[in-house]
Amino acid sequence: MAAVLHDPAARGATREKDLRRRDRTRLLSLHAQRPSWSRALLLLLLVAGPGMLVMLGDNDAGGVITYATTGARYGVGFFVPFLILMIPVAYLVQEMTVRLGAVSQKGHAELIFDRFGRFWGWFSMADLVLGNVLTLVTEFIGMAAGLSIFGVPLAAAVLGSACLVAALAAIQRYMTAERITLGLAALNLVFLPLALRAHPSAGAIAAALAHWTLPGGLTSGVLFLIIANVGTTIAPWMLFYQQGATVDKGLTPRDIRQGKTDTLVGSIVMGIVAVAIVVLTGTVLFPRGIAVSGLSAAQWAQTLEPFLGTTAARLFGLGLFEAGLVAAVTISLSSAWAVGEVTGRTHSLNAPLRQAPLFYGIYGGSIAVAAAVVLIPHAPLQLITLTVQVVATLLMPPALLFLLLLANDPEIMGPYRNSRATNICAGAVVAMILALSTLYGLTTLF
Amino acid sequence: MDIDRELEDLESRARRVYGPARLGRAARWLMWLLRAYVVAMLAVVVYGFVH
Repeated sequence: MAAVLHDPAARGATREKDLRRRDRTRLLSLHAQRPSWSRALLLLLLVAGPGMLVMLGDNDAGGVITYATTGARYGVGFFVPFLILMIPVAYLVQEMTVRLGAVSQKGHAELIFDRFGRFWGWFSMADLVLGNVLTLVTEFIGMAAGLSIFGVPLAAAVLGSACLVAALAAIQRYMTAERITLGLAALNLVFLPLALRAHPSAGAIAAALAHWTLPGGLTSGVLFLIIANVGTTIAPWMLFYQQGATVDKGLTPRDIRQGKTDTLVGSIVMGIVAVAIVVLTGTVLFPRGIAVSGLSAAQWAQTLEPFLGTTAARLFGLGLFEAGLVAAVTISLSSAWAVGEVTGRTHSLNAPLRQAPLFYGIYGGSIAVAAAVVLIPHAPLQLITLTVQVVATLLMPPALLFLLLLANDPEIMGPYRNSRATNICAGAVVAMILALSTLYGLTTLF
Repeated sequence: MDIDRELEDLESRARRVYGPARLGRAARWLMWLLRAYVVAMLAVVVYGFVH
Protein backbone atom coordinates (compact mmCIF):
# COMPACT_ATOMS: atom_id res chain seq x y z
CA MET A 1 0.00 0.00 0.00
CA ALA A 2 2.85 2.36 0.92
CA ALA A 3 4.48 1.61 -2.43
CA VAL A 4 1.26 2.53 -4.23
CA LEU A 5 1.02 5.82 -2.34
CA HIS A 6 4.53 6.81 -3.36
CA ASP A 7 4.50 5.60 -6.97
CA PRO A 8 2.66 8.15 -9.18
CA ALA A 9 2.00 5.61 -11.96
CA ALA A 10 0.50 3.12 -9.50
CA ARG A 11 -1.60 5.90 -7.91
CA GLY A 12 -2.88 6.84 -11.38
CA ALA A 13 -3.79 3.24 -12.17
CA THR A 14 -5.60 2.97 -8.82
CA ARG A 15 -7.56 6.15 -9.54
CA GLU A 16 -8.55 4.83 -12.97
CA LYS A 17 -9.67 1.56 -11.40
CA ASP A 18 -11.64 3.35 -8.67
CA LEU A 19 -13.47 5.49 -11.21
CA ARG A 20 -14.31 2.46 -13.32
CA ARG A 21 -15.53 0.60 -10.25
CA ARG A 22 -17.78 3.54 -9.29
CA ASP A 23 -19.27 3.74 -12.80
CA ARG A 24 -19.79 -0.01 -13.06
CA THR A 25 -21.35 -0.24 -9.59
CA ARG A 26 -24.01 2.32 -10.57
CA LEU A 27 -24.82 0.45 -13.78
CA LEU A 28 -24.73 -2.96 -12.14
CA SER A 29 -27.15 -1.92 -9.40
CA LEU A 30 -29.58 -0.69 -12.06
CA HIS A 31 -29.23 -3.88 -14.09
CA ALA A 32 -29.98 -5.87 -10.92
CA GLN A 33 -33.18 -3.97 -10.05
CA ARG A 34 -36.67 -5.18 -10.91
CA PRO A 35 -37.56 -4.10 -14.49
CA SER A 36 -39.57 -0.88 -14.64
CA TRP A 37 -39.90 2.09 -16.95
CA SER A 38 -38.00 4.41 -14.62
CA ARG A 39 -35.16 1.91 -14.21
CA ALA A 40 -34.97 1.38 -18.00
CA LEU A 41 -34.87 5.14 -18.59
CA LEU A 42 -32.20 5.72 -15.96
CA LEU A 43 -30.12 2.89 -17.34
CA LEU A 44 -30.40 4.32 -20.85
CA LEU A 45 -29.45 7.81 -19.63
CA LEU A 46 -26.37 6.41 -17.90
CA VAL A 47 -25.22 4.28 -20.84
CA ALA A 48 -26.09 6.90 -23.48
CA GLY A 49 -23.27 9.10 -24.67
CA PRO A 50 -20.93 7.43 -27.17
CA GLY A 51 -23.73 6.97 -29.74
CA MET A 52 -25.20 10.46 -29.31
CA LEU A 53 -21.79 12.13 -29.42
CA VAL A 54 -20.51 10.25 -32.44
CA MET A 55 -23.64 11.17 -34.40
CA LEU A 56 -23.81 14.80 -33.30
CA GLY A 57 -20.03 15.07 -33.80
CA ASP A 58 -20.68 13.84 -37.34
CA ASN A 59 -22.90 16.90 -37.95
CA ASP A 60 -19.66 18.89 -37.88
CA ALA A 61 -18.87 22.30 -39.37
CA GLY A 62 -18.13 20.77 -42.78
CA GLY A 63 -21.34 18.73 -42.56
CA VAL A 64 -23.45 21.82 -41.77
CA ILE A 65 -22.02 23.61 -44.82
CA THR A 66 -22.56 20.52 -47.03
CA TYR A 67 -26.22 20.27 -45.94
CA ALA A 68 -26.73 24.04 -46.36
CA THR A 69 -25.22 23.93 -49.86
CA THR A 70 -27.38 20.92 -50.76
CA GLY A 71 -30.60 22.69 -49.73
CA ALA A 72 -29.68 25.99 -51.39
CA ARG A 73 -28.82 24.30 -54.72
CA TYR A 74 -31.47 21.61 -54.99
CA GLY A 75 -34.22 22.47 -52.50
CA VAL A 76 -35.96 19.82 -50.44
CA GLY A 77 -37.09 17.68 -53.39
CA PHE A 78 -34.54 14.88 -53.40
CA PHE A 79 -32.28 15.35 -50.43
CA VAL A 80 -34.79 15.32 -47.55
CA PRO A 81 -35.83 11.70 -48.19
CA PHE A 82 -32.23 10.85 -49.08
CA LEU A 83 -30.94 12.11 -45.72
CA ILE A 84 -33.70 10.22 -43.90
CA LEU A 85 -32.42 7.11 -45.69
CA MET A 86 -28.96 7.83 -44.27
CA ILE A 87 -30.25 7.33 -40.69
CA PRO A 88 -30.35 3.49 -40.85
CA VAL A 89 -27.08 3.52 -42.80
CA ALA A 90 -25.29 5.36 -39.98
CA TYR A 91 -26.96 3.16 -37.36
CA LEU A 92 -26.04 -0.13 -39.06
CA VAL A 93 -22.36 0.76 -39.25
CA GLN A 94 -22.00 2.32 -35.81
CA GLU A 95 -24.01 -0.35 -33.98
CA MET A 96 -21.29 -2.89 -34.81
CA THR A 97 -18.69 -0.75 -33.01
CA VAL A 98 -20.81 -0.82 -29.82
CA ARG A 99 -20.87 -4.62 -29.79
CA LEU A 100 -17.19 -4.90 -30.70
CA GLY A 101 -16.12 -2.48 -27.96
CA ALA A 102 -18.35 -3.92 -25.25
CA VAL A 103 -17.43 -7.54 -25.97
CA SER A 104 -13.69 -7.22 -26.66
CA GLN A 105 -12.90 -4.24 -24.37
CA LYS A 106 -10.52 -3.14 -27.12
CA GLY A 107 -10.62 -0.21 -29.53
CA HIS A 108 -10.89 -0.54 -33.31
CA ALA A 109 -7.20 0.19 -33.99
CA GLU A 110 -6.08 -2.38 -31.40
CA LEU A 111 -8.26 -5.11 -32.86
CA ILE A 112 -7.04 -4.34 -36.39
CA PHE A 113 -3.45 -4.49 -35.08
CA ASP A 114 -4.09 -7.79 -33.26
CA ARG A 115 -6.05 -9.58 -35.95
CA PHE A 116 -4.75 -8.21 -39.26
CA GLY A 117 -1.13 -7.42 -38.44
CA ARG A 118 1.20 -4.55 -37.74
CA PHE A 119 1.00 -3.08 -41.25
CA TRP A 120 -2.76 -2.53 -41.18
CA GLY A 121 -2.61 -1.44 -37.53
CA TRP A 122 -0.04 1.26 -38.16
CA PHE A 123 -1.56 2.21 -41.52
CA SER A 124 -5.02 2.71 -39.96
CA MET A 125 -3.62 4.70 -37.05
CA ALA A 126 -1.35 6.94 -39.16
CA ASP A 127 -4.00 7.60 -41.80
CA LEU A 128 -6.59 8.30 -39.10
CA VAL A 129 -4.38 10.74 -37.19
CA LEU A 130 -3.35 12.61 -40.35
CA GLY A 131 -6.94 12.84 -41.61
CA ASN A 132 -8.17 13.87 -38.17
CA VAL A 133 -5.66 16.71 -37.75
CA LEU A 134 -6.62 18.07 -41.17
CA THR A 135 -10.34 17.69 -40.40
CA LEU A 136 -9.73 19.56 -37.14
CA VAL A 137 -8.48 22.50 -39.19
CA THR A 138 -11.88 22.70 -40.87
CA GLU A 139 -13.59 22.45 -37.46
CA PHE A 140 -11.60 25.41 -36.17
CA ILE A 141 -12.49 27.38 -39.30
CA GLY A 142 -16.15 26.57 -38.56
CA MET A 143 -15.89 27.57 -34.90
CA ALA A 144 -14.15 30.85 -35.79
CA ALA A 145 -16.78 31.54 -38.47
CA GLY A 146 -19.58 30.89 -35.98
CA LEU A 147 -18.05 33.20 -33.39
CA SER A 148 -17.35 35.90 -36.00
CA ILE A 149 -21.13 36.44 -36.18
CA PHE A 150 -20.86 37.64 -32.56
CA GLY A 151 -17.94 39.95 -33.42
CA VAL A 152 -15.19 37.72 -31.95
CA PRO A 153 -11.89 38.28 -33.81
CA LEU A 154 -10.26 35.28 -35.52
CA ALA A 155 -7.29 34.86 -33.15
CA ALA A 156 -9.45 35.10 -30.01
CA ALA A 157 -12.02 32.70 -31.47
CA VAL A 158 -9.43 30.08 -32.44
CA LEU A 159 -7.42 30.30 -29.23
CA GLY A 160 -10.57 30.37 -27.05
CA SER A 161 -12.03 27.36 -28.89
CA ALA A 162 -8.75 25.45 -28.58
CA CYS A 163 -8.67 26.13 -24.82
CA LEU A 164 -12.29 24.95 -24.45
CA VAL A 165 -11.62 21.72 -26.37
CA ALA A 166 -8.45 21.09 -24.32
CA ALA A 167 -10.25 21.87 -21.03
CA LEU A 168 -12.72 19.02 -21.63
CA ALA A 169 -9.89 16.48 -21.58
CA ALA A 170 -8.14 18.26 -18.72
CA ILE A 171 -11.05 17.16 -16.47
CA GLN A 172 -9.43 13.69 -16.61
CA ARG A 173 -12.75 12.00 -15.97
CA TYR A 174 -14.59 10.24 -18.80
CA MET A 175 -18.13 10.57 -17.44
CA THR A 176 -17.85 14.29 -16.60
CA ALA A 177 -16.25 15.17 -19.94
CA GLU A 178 -18.91 13.14 -21.76
CA ARG A 179 -21.82 14.81 -19.91
CA ILE A 180 -20.46 18.33 -20.56
CA THR A 181 -19.86 17.55 -24.24
CA LEU A 182 -23.38 16.11 -24.49
CA GLY A 183 -24.74 19.37 -23.02
CA LEU A 184 -22.81 21.37 -25.61
CA ALA A 185 -23.92 18.99 -28.37
CA ALA A 186 -27.56 19.79 -27.54
CA LEU A 187 -26.91 23.14 -29.26
CA ASN A 188 -26.93 21.14 -32.53
CA LEU A 189 -30.71 21.37 -32.16
CA VAL A 190 -30.68 25.15 -32.83
CA PHE A 191 -31.11 24.26 -36.50
CA LEU A 192 -34.64 22.98 -35.74
CA PRO A 193 -36.17 26.35 -34.67
CA LEU A 194 -34.21 27.96 -37.51
CA ALA A 195 -35.83 25.62 -40.03
CA LEU A 196 -39.27 26.35 -38.53
CA ARG A 197 -38.58 30.10 -38.68
CA ALA A 198 -38.07 29.75 -42.43
CA HIS A 199 -41.78 28.70 -42.60
CA PRO A 200 -41.23 25.65 -44.80
CA SER A 201 -44.12 24.36 -46.85
CA ALA A 202 -45.42 21.14 -45.30
CA GLY A 203 -46.90 20.29 -48.71
CA ALA A 204 -43.50 20.62 -50.42
CA ILE A 205 -41.86 18.35 -47.86
CA ALA A 206 -44.70 15.81 -48.11
CA ALA A 207 -44.39 15.90 -51.90
CA ALA A 208 -40.62 15.39 -51.62
CA LEU A 209 -41.19 12.34 -49.47
CA ALA A 210 -43.89 10.99 -51.77
CA HIS A 211 -42.25 11.57 -55.16
CA TRP A 212 -38.52 11.74 -54.40
CA THR A 213 -37.48 13.33 -57.68
CA LEU A 214 -34.28 15.08 -58.68
CA PRO A 215 -34.60 18.65 -59.96
CA GLY A 216 -32.92 18.60 -63.38
CA GLY A 217 -32.09 14.90 -63.28
CA LEU A 218 -28.91 13.14 -62.23
CA THR A 219 -26.24 15.66 -63.21
CA SER A 220 -22.60 15.51 -62.12
CA GLY A 221 -23.32 18.30 -59.60
CA VAL A 222 -26.13 16.29 -57.99
CA LEU A 223 -24.00 13.16 -57.98
CA PHE A 224 -21.18 15.04 -56.26
CA LEU A 225 -23.58 16.27 -53.55
CA ILE A 226 -25.03 12.77 -53.09
CA ILE A 227 -21.54 11.41 -52.58
CA ALA A 228 -20.63 14.34 -50.31
CA ASN A 229 -23.73 13.71 -48.16
CA VAL A 230 -22.88 10.01 -47.81
CA GLY A 231 -19.27 10.93 -47.05
CA THR A 232 -20.55 13.31 -44.39
CA THR A 233 -22.75 10.60 -42.85
CA ILE A 234 -20.00 8.01 -42.24
CA ALA A 235 -16.41 9.05 -41.64
CA PRO A 236 -13.50 6.80 -40.58
CA TRP A 237 -12.97 8.56 -37.22
CA MET A 238 -16.52 7.61 -36.17
CA LEU A 239 -15.69 3.90 -36.04
CA PHE A 240 -12.57 4.49 -33.93
CA TYR A 241 -14.34 7.02 -31.69
CA GLN A 242 -17.42 5.03 -30.74
CA GLN A 243 -15.55 1.81 -30.10
CA GLY A 244 -12.93 3.68 -28.04
CA ALA A 245 -15.61 5.53 -26.08
CA THR A 246 -17.50 2.29 -25.39
CA VAL A 247 -14.33 0.77 -23.94
CA ASP A 248 -13.26 3.87 -21.99
CA LYS A 249 -16.74 4.18 -20.48
CA GLY A 250 -16.46 0.57 -19.35
CA LEU A 251 -19.59 -0.68 -21.11
CA THR A 252 -19.98 -4.46 -21.13
CA PRO A 253 -22.07 -6.96 -23.11
CA ARG A 254 -24.92 -6.42 -20.63
CA ASP A 255 -25.08 -2.73 -21.75
CA ILE A 256 -25.27 -3.52 -25.46
CA ARG A 257 -29.04 -3.06 -25.66
CA GLN A 258 -28.86 0.43 -24.19
CA GLY A 259 -25.77 1.16 -26.31
CA LYS A 260 -27.73 0.26 -29.44
CA THR A 261 -30.63 2.50 -28.39
CA ASP A 262 -28.16 5.32 -27.74
CA THR A 263 -26.79 4.86 -31.28
CA LEU A 264 -30.29 4.69 -32.78
CA VAL A 265 -31.45 7.86 -31.00
CA GLY A 266 -28.20 9.59 -31.98
CA SER A 267 -28.58 8.66 -35.64
CA ILE A 268 -32.21 9.84 -35.67
CA VAL A 269 -31.27 13.20 -34.10
CA MET A 270 -28.37 13.52 -36.56
CA GLY A 271 -30.74 12.87 -39.47
CA ILE A 272 -33.37 15.30 -38.18
CA VAL A 273 -30.80 18.09 -37.79
CA ALA A 274 -29.38 17.39 -41.26
CA VAL A 275 -32.90 17.54 -42.73
CA ALA A 276 -33.59 20.78 -40.82
CA ILE A 277 -30.54 22.46 -42.40
CA VAL A 278 -31.56 21.32 -45.89
CA VAL A 279 -35.12 22.52 -45.25
CA LEU A 280 -33.80 25.87 -43.96
CA THR A 281 -31.70 26.76 -47.01
CA GLY A 282 -34.03 24.87 -49.35
CA THR A 283 -36.90 27.12 -48.23
CA VAL A 284 -35.05 30.44 -47.94
CA LEU A 285 -32.33 30.38 -50.62
CA PHE A 286 -33.33 27.79 -53.25
CA PRO A 287 -36.62 29.39 -54.45
CA ARG A 288 -34.87 32.77 -54.77
CA GLY A 289 -32.05 31.25 -56.81
CA ILE A 290 -29.38 32.74 -54.57
CA ALA A 291 -25.91 31.54 -55.58
CA VAL A 292 -24.02 29.92 -52.74
CA SER A 293 -20.99 28.69 -54.65
CA GLY A 294 -17.77 29.65 -52.89
CA LEU A 295 -19.49 31.06 -49.80
CA SER A 296 -17.25 30.91 -46.74
CA ALA A 297 -18.61 29.45 -43.50
CA ALA A 298 -19.05 32.98 -42.06
CA GLN A 299 -20.87 34.25 -45.17
CA TRP A 300 -23.65 31.66 -44.77
CA ALA A 301 -25.10 33.46 -41.74
CA GLN A 302 -24.83 36.81 -43.55
CA THR A 303 -26.66 35.35 -46.56
CA LEU A 304 -29.53 34.13 -44.37
CA GLU A 305 -29.80 37.33 -42.27
CA PRO A 306 -31.84 39.52 -44.71
CA PHE A 307 -34.55 36.83 -44.87
CA LEU A 308 -34.63 35.53 -41.30
CA GLY A 309 -33.31 38.39 -39.17
CA THR A 310 -30.31 38.98 -36.92
CA THR A 311 -31.36 36.51 -34.23
CA ALA A 312 -31.60 33.70 -36.76
CA ALA A 313 -28.19 34.59 -38.20
CA ARG A 314 -26.74 34.44 -34.69
CA LEU A 315 -28.41 31.09 -34.05
CA PHE A 316 -26.83 29.81 -37.26
CA GLY A 317 -23.45 31.08 -36.01
CA LEU A 318 -24.02 29.36 -32.67
CA GLY A 319 -24.92 26.12 -34.43
CA LEU A 320 -21.81 26.32 -36.57
CA PHE A 321 -19.64 26.93 -33.50
CA GLU A 322 -21.16 23.98 -31.64
CA ALA A 323 -20.81 21.73 -34.69
CA GLY A 324 -17.09 22.45 -34.86
CA LEU A 325 -16.60 22.22 -31.09
CA VAL A 326 -18.21 18.81 -30.52
CA ALA A 327 -16.52 17.39 -33.62
CA ALA A 328 -13.15 18.73 -32.44
CA VAL A 329 -13.56 16.89 -29.12
CA THR A 330 -14.70 13.59 -30.63
CA ILE A 331 -12.20 13.63 -33.51
CA SER A 332 -9.23 14.43 -31.22
CA LEU A 333 -10.30 11.66 -28.85
CA SER A 334 -10.49 9.12 -31.66
CA SER A 335 -6.86 9.95 -32.56
CA ALA A 336 -5.69 9.74 -28.95
CA TRP A 337 -7.41 6.38 -28.34
CA ALA A 338 -6.10 4.89 -31.61
CA VAL A 339 -2.48 5.89 -30.91
CA GLY A 340 -2.69 4.55 -27.35
CA GLU A 341 -4.20 1.28 -28.58
CA VAL A 342 -1.58 0.63 -31.25
CA THR A 343 1.39 1.63 -29.09
CA GLY A 344 0.07 -0.21 -26.03
CA ARG A 345 0.29 2.91 -23.83
CA THR A 346 -2.39 4.01 -21.35
CA HIS A 347 -5.28 5.58 -23.23
CA SER A 348 -8.17 6.62 -21.00
CA LEU A 349 -9.92 9.86 -20.12
CA ASN A 350 -10.04 8.50 -16.55
CA ALA A 351 -6.25 8.29 -16.36
CA PRO A 352 -4.32 11.20 -14.89
CA LEU A 353 -1.96 13.12 -17.18
CA ARG A 354 1.23 11.65 -15.67
CA GLN A 355 -0.01 8.13 -16.37
CA ALA A 356 -1.12 8.78 -19.94
CA PRO A 357 1.19 11.48 -21.37
CA LEU A 358 0.99 10.10 -24.92
CA PHE A 359 -2.83 9.99 -24.86
CA TYR A 360 -3.19 13.59 -23.66
CA GLY A 361 -0.22 14.64 -25.85
CA ILE A 362 -1.92 13.39 -29.03
CA TYR A 363 -5.22 15.01 -27.97
CA GLY A 364 -3.65 18.38 -27.13
CA GLY A 365 -1.10 18.22 -29.95
CA SER A 366 -3.79 17.67 -32.60
CA ILE A 367 -5.71 20.67 -31.31
CA ALA A 368 -2.61 22.87 -31.14
CA VAL A 369 -1.49 21.97 -34.69
CA ALA A 370 -4.96 22.53 -36.17
CA ALA A 371 -5.44 25.86 -34.35
CA ALA A 372 -1.99 27.03 -35.45
CA VAL A 373 -2.69 26.16 -39.10
CA VAL A 374 -5.90 28.24 -39.05
CA LEU A 375 -3.97 31.21 -37.66
CA ILE A 376 -1.28 31.03 -40.37
CA PRO A 377 -2.05 33.76 -42.91
CA HIS A 378 -2.78 32.39 -46.40
CA ALA A 379 -2.69 28.75 -45.22
CA PRO A 380 -3.52 26.40 -48.14
CA LEU A 381 -7.02 25.63 -46.85
CA GLN A 382 -8.25 24.29 -50.20
CA LEU A 383 -5.37 21.80 -50.29
CA ILE A 384 -6.20 20.79 -46.71
CA THR A 385 -9.86 20.13 -47.56
CA LEU A 386 -8.76 18.10 -50.58
CA THR A 387 -6.26 16.08 -48.56
CA VAL A 388 -8.91 15.33 -45.88
CA GLN A 389 -11.04 13.70 -48.55
CA VAL A 390 -8.16 11.77 -50.06
CA VAL A 391 -7.03 10.46 -46.66
CA ALA A 392 -10.61 9.44 -45.78
CA THR A 393 -10.91 7.66 -49.13
CA LEU A 394 -7.76 5.67 -48.36
CA LEU A 395 -8.84 4.70 -44.85
CA MET A 396 -12.56 4.10 -45.32
CA PRO A 397 -12.40 0.75 -47.20
CA PRO A 398 -9.92 -0.94 -44.82
CA ALA A 399 -11.69 0.40 -41.71
CA LEU A 400 -15.14 -0.73 -42.90
CA LEU A 401 -14.02 -4.13 -44.18
CA PHE A 402 -12.11 -4.80 -40.97
CA LEU A 403 -15.22 -3.77 -39.04
CA LEU A 404 -17.29 -6.36 -40.91
CA LEU A 405 -14.66 -9.09 -40.50
CA LEU A 406 -14.24 -8.32 -36.79
CA ALA A 407 -17.98 -8.21 -36.14
CA ASN A 408 -18.15 -11.71 -37.66
CA ASP A 409 -15.12 -13.05 -35.80
CA PRO A 410 -16.40 -15.90 -33.58
CA GLU A 411 -13.25 -15.88 -31.43
CA ILE A 412 -13.80 -12.24 -30.45
CA MET A 413 -17.56 -11.88 -30.64
CA GLY A 414 -18.84 -15.30 -29.61
CA PRO A 415 -22.65 -15.12 -29.48
CA TYR A 416 -22.58 -11.37 -30.21
CA ARG A 417 -21.31 -11.73 -33.79
CA ASN A 418 -23.35 -10.40 -36.71
CA SER A 419 -26.51 -12.25 -37.66
CA ARG A 420 -27.08 -13.19 -41.30
CA ALA A 421 -29.62 -10.36 -41.69
CA THR A 422 -27.18 -7.84 -40.22
CA ASN A 423 -24.47 -9.07 -42.60
CA ILE A 424 -26.71 -8.71 -45.64
CA CYS A 425 -27.75 -5.14 -44.68
CA ALA A 426 -24.32 -4.08 -43.43
CA GLY A 427 -22.60 -5.69 -46.45
CA ALA A 428 -24.82 -3.72 -48.83
CA VAL A 429 -24.24 -0.51 -46.88
CA VAL A 430 -20.48 -1.06 -46.76
CA ALA A 431 -20.36 -1.79 -50.51
CA MET A 432 -22.34 1.40 -51.21
CA ILE A 433 -20.14 3.53 -48.95
CA LEU A 434 -16.97 2.06 -50.45
CA ALA A 435 -18.09 2.76 -54.01
CA LEU A 436 -19.29 6.28 -53.21
CA SER A 437 -16.35 7.29 -51.03
CA THR A 438 -13.93 6.08 -53.73
CA LEU A 439 -15.90 8.04 -56.33
CA TYR A 440 -15.87 11.10 -54.04
CA GLY A 441 -12.11 10.89 -53.57
CA LEU A 442 -11.55 10.55 -57.32
CA THR A 443 -13.95 13.37 -58.26
CA THR A 444 -12.31 15.64 -55.67
CA LEU A 445 -8.89 14.91 -57.15
CA PHE A 446 -9.77 15.20 -60.84
CA MET B 1 -22.56 -11.25 -10.75
CA ASP B 2 -20.96 -8.99 -8.15
CA ILE B 3 -18.91 -5.93 -8.97
CA ASP B 4 -15.53 -7.55 -8.29
CA ARG B 5 -16.23 -10.44 -10.64
CA GLU B 6 -17.56 -8.09 -13.30
CA LEU B 7 -14.49 -5.85 -13.12
CA GLU B 8 -12.24 -8.89 -13.22
CA ASP B 9 -14.10 -10.11 -16.30
CA LEU B 10 -13.65 -6.70 -17.95
CA GLU B 11 -9.94 -6.66 -17.19
CA SER B 12 -9.40 -10.17 -18.48
CA ARG B 13 -11.20 -9.26 -21.71
CA ALA B 14 -9.02 -6.15 -22.07
CA ARG B 15 -5.82 -8.14 -21.35
CA ARG B 16 -6.59 -10.90 -23.79
CA VAL B 17 -4.30 -10.84 -26.84
CA TYR B 18 -5.89 -12.15 -30.00
CA GLY B 19 -3.49 -13.69 -32.46
CA PRO B 20 -3.71 -13.18 -36.20
CA ALA B 21 -7.18 -13.84 -37.57
CA ARG B 22 -7.74 -17.20 -39.23
CA LEU B 23 -9.17 -16.03 -42.52
CA GLY B 24 -11.19 -18.09 -44.92
CA ARG B 25 -10.48 -18.11 -48.64
CA ALA B 26 -12.93 -15.26 -49.35
CA ALA B 27 -11.48 -13.10 -46.59
CA ARG B 28 -7.94 -13.75 -47.83
CA TRP B 29 -8.99 -12.61 -51.30
CA LEU B 30 -10.56 -9.55 -49.73
CA MET B 31 -7.29 -8.71 -48.00
CA TRP B 32 -5.40 -8.91 -51.29
CA LEU B 33 -8.04 -6.71 -52.90
CA LEU B 34 -7.61 -4.26 -50.05
CA ARG B 35 -3.84 -4.14 -50.56
CA ALA B 36 -4.34 -3.61 -54.29
CA TYR B 37 -6.88 -0.86 -53.55
CA VAL B 38 -4.52 1.03 -51.24
CA VAL B 39 -1.63 0.78 -53.72
CA ALA B 40 -3.86 1.85 -56.63
CA MET B 41 -5.35 4.76 -54.67
CA LEU B 42 -1.90 5.92 -53.58
CA ALA B 43 -0.79 5.86 -57.24
CA VAL B 44 -3.90 7.83 -58.23
CA VAL B 45 -3.30 10.34 -55.42
CA VAL B 46 0.31 10.89 -56.48
CA TYR B 47 -0.79 11.24 -60.12
CA GLY B 48 -3.56 13.66 -59.11
CA PHE B 49 -1.26 15.87 -57.10
CA VAL B 50 1.50 15.87 -59.73
CA HIS B 51 -0.86 16.81 -62.57
